[in-house]
Amino acid sequence: MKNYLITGILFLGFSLGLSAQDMREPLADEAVKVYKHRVGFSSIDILREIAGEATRENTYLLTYMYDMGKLHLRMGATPQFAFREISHEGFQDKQDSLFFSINVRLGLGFELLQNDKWMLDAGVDLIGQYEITELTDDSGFDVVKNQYTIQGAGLGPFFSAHYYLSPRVSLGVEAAAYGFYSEAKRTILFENFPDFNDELDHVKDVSLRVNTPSTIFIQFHF
Amino acid sequence: MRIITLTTLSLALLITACQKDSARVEVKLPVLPAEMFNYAQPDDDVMQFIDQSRFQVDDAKATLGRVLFYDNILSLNNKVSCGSCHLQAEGFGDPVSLSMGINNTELDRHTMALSNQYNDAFLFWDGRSENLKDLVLKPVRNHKEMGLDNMEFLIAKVEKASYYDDLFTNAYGSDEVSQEKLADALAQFLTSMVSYSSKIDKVNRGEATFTQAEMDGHNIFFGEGRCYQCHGGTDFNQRGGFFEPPFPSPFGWGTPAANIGLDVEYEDPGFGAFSEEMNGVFKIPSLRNIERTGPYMHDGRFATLDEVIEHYNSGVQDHPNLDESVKDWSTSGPMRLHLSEYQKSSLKAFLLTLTDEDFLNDPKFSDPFVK
Repeated sequence: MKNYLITGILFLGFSLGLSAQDMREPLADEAVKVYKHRVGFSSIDILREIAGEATRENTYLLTYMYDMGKLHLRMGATPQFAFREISHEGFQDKQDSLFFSINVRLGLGFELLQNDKWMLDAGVDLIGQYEITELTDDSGFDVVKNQYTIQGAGLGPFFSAHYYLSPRVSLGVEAAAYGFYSEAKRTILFENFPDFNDELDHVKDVSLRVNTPSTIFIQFHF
Repeated sequence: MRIITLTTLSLALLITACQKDSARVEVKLPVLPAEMFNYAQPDDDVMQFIDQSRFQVDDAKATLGRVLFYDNILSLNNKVSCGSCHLQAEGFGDPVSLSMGINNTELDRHTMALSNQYNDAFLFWDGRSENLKDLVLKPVRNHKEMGLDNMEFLIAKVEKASYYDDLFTNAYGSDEVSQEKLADALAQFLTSMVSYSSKIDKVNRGEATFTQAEMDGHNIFFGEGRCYQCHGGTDFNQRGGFFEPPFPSPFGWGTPAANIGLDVEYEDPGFGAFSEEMNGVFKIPSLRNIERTGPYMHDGRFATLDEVIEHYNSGVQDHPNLDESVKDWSTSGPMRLHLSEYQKSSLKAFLLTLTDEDFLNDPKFSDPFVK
């Protein structure tokens, strides 16, 4: 949380600084300069973290775009990780919980419009999700793991719009809709009794995931 | 050469350190007395109240049952035992409205207190078991309570715990574990849990006398309070003040179950799960150690005995299945006792005479895993 706060403030300061530098008239060669790489951060997710809101849409915390002229290769990722261990004074048993998830996307976009203030593009994304939650109880007699995993992949169109604050900084929004297939499994694993490992639930799911243009990405070009 | 040796040793050490121990078992062992507790022959004072035809206990089997009762390995994640919810100091009940099972799952009903189970053929809040051997493994197999539905797994776990070898051999002549033996040993331990040393028992034996308030409460209990109509018999859970075997029909007059007008509409149907006409009907629990077994009712809605008494005094709600015993006999509506404050307090004083400190502190029923 503290890290997010600091990161958010730094981004904001950095963006404003770059924007302020850009108040001058652009030099002739700078105005036409096209940078190949764009790294973006979801500002809304950062603000949500600051506000303590737990909900997170299927947006990407970190994005990257590679400019190939009219075509753009784009990537995105949201990694999350948490680990907690609980032990009790005077007791042998202890528990730990592990959470890891990664949402990724790989897309190809086609430039619809490009000028000194705007860039619009549309294309197709391939997305993937992997998530594991593992609760481990070590009672001394056995180590029991309750494991919950979700794996999924999807495909769908996207549309994005970018507004240039400066040649090096832009703000972006995007909308997308993905057909998504996922499998969720809940298993229980016994370290001392592996013969009794058991798959408790196995859910297969097909859904349509719609990402509304509710997230603003701050993008840096280089 | 020296570098190669050191590197090889370091790698060997690293590989050894990274290997998982197989079947690591480090548990607290049960602490049992050198000479077995006497479960089969309680004190004469107690024995005179016991229906001998129903009370057949073997010390070795009850000893094994005691260890099983308190052993967390009887649950799927090794965190919950029978004793987790049936706390001796609380009359083998749980001081929370709804106990927590494995994975911190809240259970559906309040934990029933345990005592004199040998004398009860109508078990659980909905009476779904008729004997202790049938009862004891149901919480073990319940997905919310202990979650260990696979009996082969249960047997494998008990076999892995080495402290059971001698216990099974003493009880059954061999260390072979079976579902039948597990159920039998647990049932033996529950059977041995007799509570007949409360003040009312001592009064009945002529060893003590009631105070005036207790005597007045006694008279209300067996008189205008009409409590005895459901809470009769030696364990205060039988109809009419007499011990009666269950009627062939589970819904007959003598059946120790009743709708006592807790709600106009019941979220939990109780017996209603089996028959719509029995919606809101629940087992009549024993009142022994009632002082310690709160909160009260099937959902633990009443925190104190005062609240319970007030319910019967003025709070019984009308319901199509309302038991005759809590109806006003002239109007057929819910009864209103109109007890005075003194009458209520004296009724409570009488109920407190059902507390059996000997039973609640008897080491033979205590947790052997706690030193």
